[in-house]
Amino acid sequence: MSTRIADLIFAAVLLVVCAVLFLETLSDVYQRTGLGTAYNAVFYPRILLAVLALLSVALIAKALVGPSAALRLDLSRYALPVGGSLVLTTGYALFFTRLPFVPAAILYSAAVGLILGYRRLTVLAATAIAMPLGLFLLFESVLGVQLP
Amino acid sequence: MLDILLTLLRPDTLLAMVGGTALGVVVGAIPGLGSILGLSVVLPFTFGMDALPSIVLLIGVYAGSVYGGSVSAILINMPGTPQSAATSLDGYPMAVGGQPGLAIGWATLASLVGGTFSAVVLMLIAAPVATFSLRFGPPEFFALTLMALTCVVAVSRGSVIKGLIAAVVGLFVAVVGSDPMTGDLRFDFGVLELSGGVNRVAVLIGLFALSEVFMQARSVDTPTAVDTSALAFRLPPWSAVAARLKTLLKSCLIGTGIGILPGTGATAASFISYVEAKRSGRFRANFGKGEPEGIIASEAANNAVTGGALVPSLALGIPGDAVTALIVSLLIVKGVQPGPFLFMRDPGFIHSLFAAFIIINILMALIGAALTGVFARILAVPTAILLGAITLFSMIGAYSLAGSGADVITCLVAGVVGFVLRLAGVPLAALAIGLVLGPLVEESLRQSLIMTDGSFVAIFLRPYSGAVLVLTVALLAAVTLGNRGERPQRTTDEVA
Repeated sequence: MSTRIADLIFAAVLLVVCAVLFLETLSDVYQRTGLGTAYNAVFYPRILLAVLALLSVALIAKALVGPSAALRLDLSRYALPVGGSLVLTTGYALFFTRLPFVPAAILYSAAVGLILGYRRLTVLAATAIAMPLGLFLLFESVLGVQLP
Repeated sequence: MLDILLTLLRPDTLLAMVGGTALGVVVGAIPGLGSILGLSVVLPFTFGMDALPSIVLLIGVYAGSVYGGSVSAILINMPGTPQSAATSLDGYPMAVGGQPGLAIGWATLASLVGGTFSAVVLMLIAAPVATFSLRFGPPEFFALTLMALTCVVAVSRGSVIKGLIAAVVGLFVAVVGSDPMTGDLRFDFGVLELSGGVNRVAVLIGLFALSEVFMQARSVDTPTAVDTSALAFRLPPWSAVAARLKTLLKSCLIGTGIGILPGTGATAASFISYVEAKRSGRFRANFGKGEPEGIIASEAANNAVTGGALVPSLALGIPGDAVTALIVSLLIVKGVQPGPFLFMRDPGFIHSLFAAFIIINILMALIGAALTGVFARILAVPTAILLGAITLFSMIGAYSLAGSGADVITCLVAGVVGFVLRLAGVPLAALAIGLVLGPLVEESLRQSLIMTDGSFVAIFLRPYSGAVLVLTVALLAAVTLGNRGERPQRTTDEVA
């Protein structure tokens, strides 16, 4: 992939988002807002969306006219560490309030360390256990923040 | 005076000063972490604290991390923070030449002088700036916010269009929730958690801390081993300092001045100061070969930025970079609205903060000297373990904002979006400033339009707002002329 294609995709996605949000500002609920005032609730957001759309068009024009270069996206190297950490972190965030903090954090820390290629298992296990326990004690006992 | 002293001697404030500064030095020393990530990591600790110790903790991390970056720049030629990249040009050759402890001593002395100088400037000019800004109305504040956003975009790495896109996206995220003028709900899509708006601090944690985890996951490196045989802290003799005093003072001025300008930051300050010292310094012939004047030019300037950057943040409530955006956001969370009225309503808070900032700079030097012997071990902490810890801190930080799982999800979404934006070469600092300034931009624009009967042009026809507009154009012209001839940076790889 080249920087030109990447920029075109990015600008196109932004334009679609702008269009969807602009359509949202036309919905009935906003027509009844700001009664008796000079500007309703979507006056300012519409300005921002217009500016964003113009900038997206400018980015498209620049991508088409300007220089392009190849992007070095070494997917075979990135896929496991980045994809794995994304999936693990997403799962951890989604279940953050539903699982007890300490066991979930231990599992998460150990799994992330393994996915990122750390292989000294004793060090990994020790830190994966000690860190969540230490954090739990610190936040619950010292700082008074109730963790799940 | 006694009140300030008693406030600073409170155990929580003392602990925040010492702990924040020490953590900042450590975080700054580890390559790839940096100031904003350090601040994100300590956020969870602030939620049980009062406003002053919370902000002192953040400022301690900020100042400490800017200094800490010099350690890895000197010892392993890998700046812990971008602000210290110029330090490695002479710091590393000095370390290779068998004097790593002396190189750290020069960096520590310069950072202490630079940081303290900027703290004094902050004390002297923040209150007058705040008082002067009482003459400003909505049009002037609108012009100032535009100036901050434009300058941040202009000096961002990569494309200006992408910088503007980032700023507008940040402004748009800030409109989610209720209309500040009428209270009507906007873009909540029926989700109860969005009716109060997107939690800005959770977004900032995700944008900077979580996205950094995903970025670093692409290339987790083995830490570099450091030879510790000659690593004992050494201060330079007074005669050597006196011979370089002019450069030291000039670098302090450059750093503080650049810090006050929105968007430029410590990296630009350290390089500008280094180049100026290389042009006019007494020992310029030795630059690049381990010359202490190169170290002090970079380190005095980057630490002097810290106090300068706090001037517009505290006096006007307008942050100039991502770090001060986070500090301003936390102040607002704590019920302290930065800006001119803060100086009138709570001068005790402001004076305590100024005094704490000076103490933090002294602590930074003491902690740096004390930790020199263990820096080698700090630099050997495996990145894979650090990244897991950063994620845990980020999640706890987002959760402890309101004990809500929605903020954790917000943080995650911001982290993933931040990662994608960084891959696309979009500068996140502009997005952060847009997000924090969003409510002020909207309120000041709408109030200005009411004042001018809907005329956008009339907003800038008032003396002060017109002057700000002229200043913005002048700064943009200076930046554009300075950048003329430079090639785009994003040519062969993704830009963070």
